[in-house]
Amino acid sequence: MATRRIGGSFAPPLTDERLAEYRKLIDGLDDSPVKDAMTELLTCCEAWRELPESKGVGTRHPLGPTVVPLDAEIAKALWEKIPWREELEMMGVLFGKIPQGELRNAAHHLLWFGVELEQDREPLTNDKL
Amino acid sequence: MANDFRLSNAAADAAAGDGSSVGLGGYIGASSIFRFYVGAQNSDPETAPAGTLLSTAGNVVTGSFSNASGDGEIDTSSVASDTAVASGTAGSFWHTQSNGTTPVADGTVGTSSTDFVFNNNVFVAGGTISVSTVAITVPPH
Repeated sequence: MATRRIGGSFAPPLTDERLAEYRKLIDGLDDSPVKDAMTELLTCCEAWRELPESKGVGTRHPLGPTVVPLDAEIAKALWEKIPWREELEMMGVLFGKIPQGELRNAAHHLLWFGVELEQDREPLTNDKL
Repeated sequence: MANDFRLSNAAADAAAGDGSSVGLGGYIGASSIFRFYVGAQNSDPETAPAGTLLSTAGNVVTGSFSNASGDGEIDTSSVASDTAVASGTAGSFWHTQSNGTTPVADGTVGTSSTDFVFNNNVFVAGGTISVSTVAITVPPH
């Protein structure tokens, strides 16, 4: 049966300023699993930001934006930077324990990008709606 | 003998209603609200899930559900959006009438094999949450 209830979660885009804020936030954390996970995600996001945007033909998401798969060369370049799905799920559990606030928001923002990239597509940020 | 009670398409259709004044569609009414939460749904849909609410007033489904298929299904394809006010991984939803308190349904949220399927069930404060293509079928399946 086709999916009959469809939703979308579209995060704000990452900017250089925001990445710098997140780097500063992470650098200020004590060594911890949260710091390790956020560092891994930030490294992945920074690598993605340094690459050109994929130009492939996309498909339309039911909520409007076009889903553009990562170009093969970009996917290859990011392969070792993108956490595995199981890692992302564990990060989600870990980040779920962070109290609401700046750190939790930053962690989930990075996690959202990790989930998008793990699916080999250009992230569907809310500026694309 | 196992239980295997079934409604006919016409009977299910009558229960589903026409999206205006009768049946489930009439009960739901216009501008019903979907809210999304961290964690699992409650033990029953009478009350909201206990996890962190990720949206504010929820995603208002503008307009009524309509019954176009004739097999007990009512649906809406209008797109409604809301801004996430908290960050977390969404695991459940609660659907109410437009007053935000009278319960209609609840269910699971994820990226596949859940009642509500999202492109990404990580919600980010300040991000956009949208819903569309919501269908409810009587009997539920």
